[in-house]
Amino acid sequence: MDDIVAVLNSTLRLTTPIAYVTLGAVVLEKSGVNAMAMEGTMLVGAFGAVVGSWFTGSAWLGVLTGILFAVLISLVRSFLCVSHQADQTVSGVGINILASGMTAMLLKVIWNMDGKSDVVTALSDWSIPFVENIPVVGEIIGKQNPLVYLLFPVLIGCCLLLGHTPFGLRLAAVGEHPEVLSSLGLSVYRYRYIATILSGILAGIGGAYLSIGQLSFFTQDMASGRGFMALAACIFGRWTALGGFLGALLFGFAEAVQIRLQSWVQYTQFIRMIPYAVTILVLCGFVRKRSGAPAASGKPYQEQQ
Amino acid sequence: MEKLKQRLKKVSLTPLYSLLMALVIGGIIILGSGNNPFEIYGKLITGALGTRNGILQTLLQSTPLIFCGLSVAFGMRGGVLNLGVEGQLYMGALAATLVALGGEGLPSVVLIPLCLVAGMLGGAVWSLLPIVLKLKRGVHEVVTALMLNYIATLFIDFMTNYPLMAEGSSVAQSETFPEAAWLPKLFPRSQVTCGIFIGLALAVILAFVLKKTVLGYQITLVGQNELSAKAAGVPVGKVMVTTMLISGMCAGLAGTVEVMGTYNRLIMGFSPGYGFDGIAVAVLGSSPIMVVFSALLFGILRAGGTALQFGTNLSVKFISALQGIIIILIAAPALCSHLYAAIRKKKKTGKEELKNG
Amino acid sequence: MQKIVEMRGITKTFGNNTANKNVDFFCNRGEVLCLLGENGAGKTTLMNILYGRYRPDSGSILFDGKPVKISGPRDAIAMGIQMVHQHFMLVPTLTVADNVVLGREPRRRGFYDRKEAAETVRRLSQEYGLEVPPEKLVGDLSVGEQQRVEIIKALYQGAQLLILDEPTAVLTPQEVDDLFKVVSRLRESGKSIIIITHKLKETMAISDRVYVLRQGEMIGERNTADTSIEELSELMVGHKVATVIRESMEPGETVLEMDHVSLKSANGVQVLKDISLSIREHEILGIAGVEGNGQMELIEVLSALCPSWEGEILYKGKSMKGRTTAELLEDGVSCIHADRQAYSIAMDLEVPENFLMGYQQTPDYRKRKWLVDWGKVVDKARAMLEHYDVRPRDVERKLSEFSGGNQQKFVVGREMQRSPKFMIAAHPTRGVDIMATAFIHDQLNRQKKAGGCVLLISSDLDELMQMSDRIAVIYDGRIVDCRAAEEYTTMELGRLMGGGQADGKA
Repeated sequence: MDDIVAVLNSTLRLTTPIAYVTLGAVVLEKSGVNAMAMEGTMLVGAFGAVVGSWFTGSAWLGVLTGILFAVLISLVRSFLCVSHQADQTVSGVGINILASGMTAMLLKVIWNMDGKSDVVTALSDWSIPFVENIPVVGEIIGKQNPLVYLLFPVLIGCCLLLGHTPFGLRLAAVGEHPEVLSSLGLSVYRYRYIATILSGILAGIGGAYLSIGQLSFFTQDMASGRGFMALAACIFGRWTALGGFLGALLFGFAEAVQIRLQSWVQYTQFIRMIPYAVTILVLCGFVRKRSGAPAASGKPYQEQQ
Repeated sequence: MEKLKQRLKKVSLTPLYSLLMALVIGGIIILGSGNNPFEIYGKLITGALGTRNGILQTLLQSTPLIFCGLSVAFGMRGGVLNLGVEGQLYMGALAATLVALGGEGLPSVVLIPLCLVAGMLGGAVWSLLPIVLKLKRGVHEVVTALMLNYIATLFIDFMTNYPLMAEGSSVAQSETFPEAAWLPKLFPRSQVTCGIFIGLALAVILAFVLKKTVLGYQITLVGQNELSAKAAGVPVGKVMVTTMLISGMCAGLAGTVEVMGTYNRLIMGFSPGYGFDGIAVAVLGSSPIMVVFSALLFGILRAGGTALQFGTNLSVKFISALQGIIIILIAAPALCSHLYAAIRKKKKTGKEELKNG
Repeated sequence: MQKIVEMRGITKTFGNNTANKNVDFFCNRGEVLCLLGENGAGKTTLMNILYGRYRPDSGSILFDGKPVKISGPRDAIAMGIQMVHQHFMLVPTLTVADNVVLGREPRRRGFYDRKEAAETVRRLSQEYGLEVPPEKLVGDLSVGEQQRVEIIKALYQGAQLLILDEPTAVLTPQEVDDLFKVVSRLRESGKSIIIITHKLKETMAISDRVYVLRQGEMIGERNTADTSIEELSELMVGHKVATVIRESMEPGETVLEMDHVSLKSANGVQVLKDISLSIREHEILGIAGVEGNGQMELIEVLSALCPSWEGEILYKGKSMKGRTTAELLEDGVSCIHADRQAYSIAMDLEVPENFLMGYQQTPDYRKRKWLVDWGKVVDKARAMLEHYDVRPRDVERKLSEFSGGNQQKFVVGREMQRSPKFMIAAHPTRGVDIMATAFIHDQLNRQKKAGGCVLLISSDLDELMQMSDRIAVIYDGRIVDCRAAEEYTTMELGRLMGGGQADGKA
C-alpha cells in the first residue's frame, strides 16, 4: 500500500515537467512547427531558472527567468524555421546541441564548475490545509510543489484555448493548411510566433521544475530525453492537450516505477532504460494512424510578399 | 580549365558563409563571457596547430569525427537522418571489444580485421531498429535513434560495470585488449593510429559508391525524391535499409577505432559526444570527401578547445555550442542568402553612390 | 452602370517572366465578367494582384472610383473583394461552419460560438440556394460541395466582388449548371462576379462581358452578346494551331487486359470496383472522369506502385500479380505521371541523373554490372534533349532550372525513348502551352503508330475526344461505360462522369 501511494505521489511529481513540455509541444505542432527542439528548450529553461534564482535569490523570479530563456531560444528557432524556412528537424537538432553546449559552457563561466551548478534557492512545496490530512489522497496530492498544482489550471487553459477560442481554431488551420489563413489576410507567421512563445513559456516552466522544483541546482543535460518523451506524448494524445497530458502521465508513471524498482534490482541500468523503451513503444503503437497530425507540421511555409 | 571553372561555380558557398557567421556569433558569445574573441580564437588555433602535440591531438580528435561525419552524411544522402550514431558507436565498440578479448592468442593480421568487422556489425545492428520502425510503422527515425542512444549508453554502463569489468579496477572499464588487437601507432608518444587512414579510405570508398555505382545512384534518388524513385522502379525500402546499415557501419567503426587505437580497452563514456559532433561535421561537409576536411576543422576546434580549459573560464563545451550554431545556420540556407543579398545590395548602392558622387 | 473596380496599367514580372504587361481592366456592379485566356496568360496573376496577394510593379487600382492601395488580402477583404481559388482554401479537418467563419469568428464571452457559426451557415445557404451541411468535416465533402462552402465563406466575409478562379475545372457538367444558377442569383442580388476561365462555351453561357488575355497582355474586350466562340478563340490563341486528328488504325493484339480488378485503400475504402478493361496494339484508350474517382489508383495499380489489388491483370499475356515496378519498366510499361514534380523527376538533380530514372536496371547503362556508365548516359540524354526539343539543351542543368513545359517534354521524351509497349499518360499536357501540347499529342500518336498502346487519363474532354479511339468513363471507382470515342457526345460524357445514365438507358 505504501509503495502504491509513494509511486502515485512520485508519478505526479515526475509527470509535471513532461506534461508542461508536452502541452508546449502540442501548441507548437498545432501551428505547423515540429517539436524537435523541445529537449533543448526545456534544458535552457532549467538553466535559466537556476541563473535567475542564483542572481535574485528568489525561486519564483528564477521560474520567470527560466521562462524568459526558453522563450528566447524558441524565438531563435522560429526566426530560422518560420521566417527563413530552415529545415525544421535539422534546426531542431541544432538547437538541442546548442542548448546542451551553451548551458554546459556557462556553468563554468558563472560558477566555475564543470557538470553542475551551485545550489540555489528552490521552490518549496505547498501543503494544502485539510487535504494533506486526508489519508492516502492527502499523501498523494496534499503536499506538492506549487508547479504541480499550477499544472492543472494550465492544462484546463490549454484545452479551452485550443478547443474553444477563435485563436485555437486559427491555430488548427495554420498547422493544417497555412495558405487558408493567408488567403484570409491573416498572417501565418504571426500565429506561428504566438505558438512559439506559448510553447517556450510552457517548456520553460517544465524546465524550471526540473532544476529548482525537483532539485535545487542544474546538471549538464538534465532534460535527459524528456523533450522527446513530450513529443511522443503529444503524438500519443493525438495532438490534443488532454490526450497529451495522459501521455505525459504514462511517462511519469514509467519513471516513478523505474525509480521504485531501482532499490530492488541490482542491475539498475536495465531499469533506467524503461522510460526510453516506453517512448519507442508508444511511438510504434500510435504513429501509424497519424490521425490528428497537423498536415503542415515540419513543412516550411513562405508568406507571400 | 574551363570545366574546372564551371565546376567551381557550382560549388555551394553556403557552408562557408555559415561557418564564418557562426564564428562571428561565437565571437559575440565569447565577448559576453568576458573574454577577447581574437585572443580566444587565437588560443584555439595555436592550441590545435601551434605545437607538435597540438597537431597530433588534432589528428587524434579528427579520427572519430571522420567516421561519425561520414555516417551522418551518407545517411542524409539517402534521405535518412541517422542521429543514433552515438549509440551505434558504443555498440560497435562493444562488439569489437568482445572479439578482441575473446580472440586472445590470434595474430594481428587475423584479429584486427575480425574486430573491425565485428565493430561494423555492432553499429549496423543498432541502426536497424530506427529504419525498420520508420518503414513499418511510420515512426520518425530521429526519435527512435535518440532513445536508442540512451539505451546503448546504459547498456555499456552495465557491461563495463559487471560482465566486462577489469579486475581490481575502480572505474567502469574492460580489461586491456591483447596487443594483437591494437591498431599500430603512427608516431611515438602519441595515440594517433592508422585508424585515420581507415577513415580516409572509407571516405574515398563512400564517395565512389555514391558517384559511380548503381546502388549509389539509387540512394541519391531516394534521398532526393522518394516517390519518383519508387516510380522509377527503385526498391525504396531496401535502399533505405541499406543506406542506414552502411551509416551504422561507419558509426560502429568510429567506436571500434577508438577502443582499438586510442584506449585499447572499452571504457564507460569514452565518447564525449562524437556522434553528435558527427551531425555538425556532416552538415558542413555533406559529400564524403568534404566530410574529411570538415572533420579536420572540428578536430582543430576540439583540440584547441581543450587548450581553453586552462587560463580561461571557457571550456571545450564552447565548441559544442559553436557546432549547434553551425548546424542551425546551414539548416537555414535562406537566411544566409538573404543576408548575403542584403550585403551585396548595400555594397552595390554604396558603389553607385560613389560613382554618382 | 457603376464601376466597382478598375485596374490601370498593371505590370507584374517574376524574375525574367512578365506575367502582366500594362493591363487595363474594370468591372461593373452587378456584372458577370469572364477573364479569358490560355494557361499562363496571366489571368490568375492579375486577379491575385487585385486580391492583394501580389503587389504590381507599376499601375494603379481604383475601387468605387477612388484610388486605393491593396497591400494584402486583408485590404481586399475589407473592400468586399473575395477570391475562390482553383485549389480550395479550406481546411479538411475542420467543419464546414468552422471553415466559413474562420478569421471572423462569432464570439460569446470571448469564446468561439460554434452554434452561432452553424446557424449563420444555414442562413446563408438558404438565402443563396447553396446547400451544405454545416457540421460535416470539409474533408468528407465532394468537390462540388466544397466549392459551395467556398462561395458561402466569401459571402460571409462580406463579398461584393467575387473572383472565381477556373471554377468549372473540377465539376461535372451538371454541377456546372448548378454553379451557374448560383452565379445568376448572386448577380441578381447586386454582386459582381469575375470568372477566370479558358473555356469558351462557358464564357458564352454565363458572362455579360469578356476580357481576353494573351501572354500577359490584354488583347481585347467584348460584350458577350456581340461576340462568338470563333472570335474569342482567335483572340485567345492568336495563331491557329492544327489540332491533332485521331488516326484510326486497325488494332492489333491485346496488350493489357484487366479482369474484375478491385482495390481497397489503406483506410479500407473501396477505391476501385470491379474494373474490366482491355487495350490493344495501335490503340489509345481514354479514361474520362472527374478527378478523384479512382484514376490515381488505377495508375498506381498498372505501374505496380500499389500491389494489393484483387482480380487479374494480364500484360502481354502474363499476370501482373507480384511484379515490381522495375520489372514492368523492363518489360515495356512506361508512365507519365500526373504530378511530374512528385513522381517523375528530382528537381535538384541534373539532366543525366534524371534521364537515368527508370533505366538504372538496364544493362545498356551499366558497366561491370554494378557501375553506372555515366558517359553513355550523358550522350543519350544530350541526344534526347535534341530530339524532343527540350530547352535549354544543357545537360549540366538541374531540372528545376527548366520551365514547366520543358520539364514535361523531358519526361515525355524520356518515356518515349523507352519505346514502350504500353504507356500510361496521365494529364500529359496539363500546364503546358499550346505548342508543347500539340507536340506531346503528336508523340502519343507516334507511339500508337509504332505498335504500342496508350492509356490516356485526362480531365480535358476535348483532349480525350481528339486523341482516343475508345473512351472509358470512370465514376466512383467503377467503369460505367466504355465505347468508341465517336459514339459519345460531350454532354453525355459529362453526365456519365457525374454518375448519371447514358443516353437511351433512362
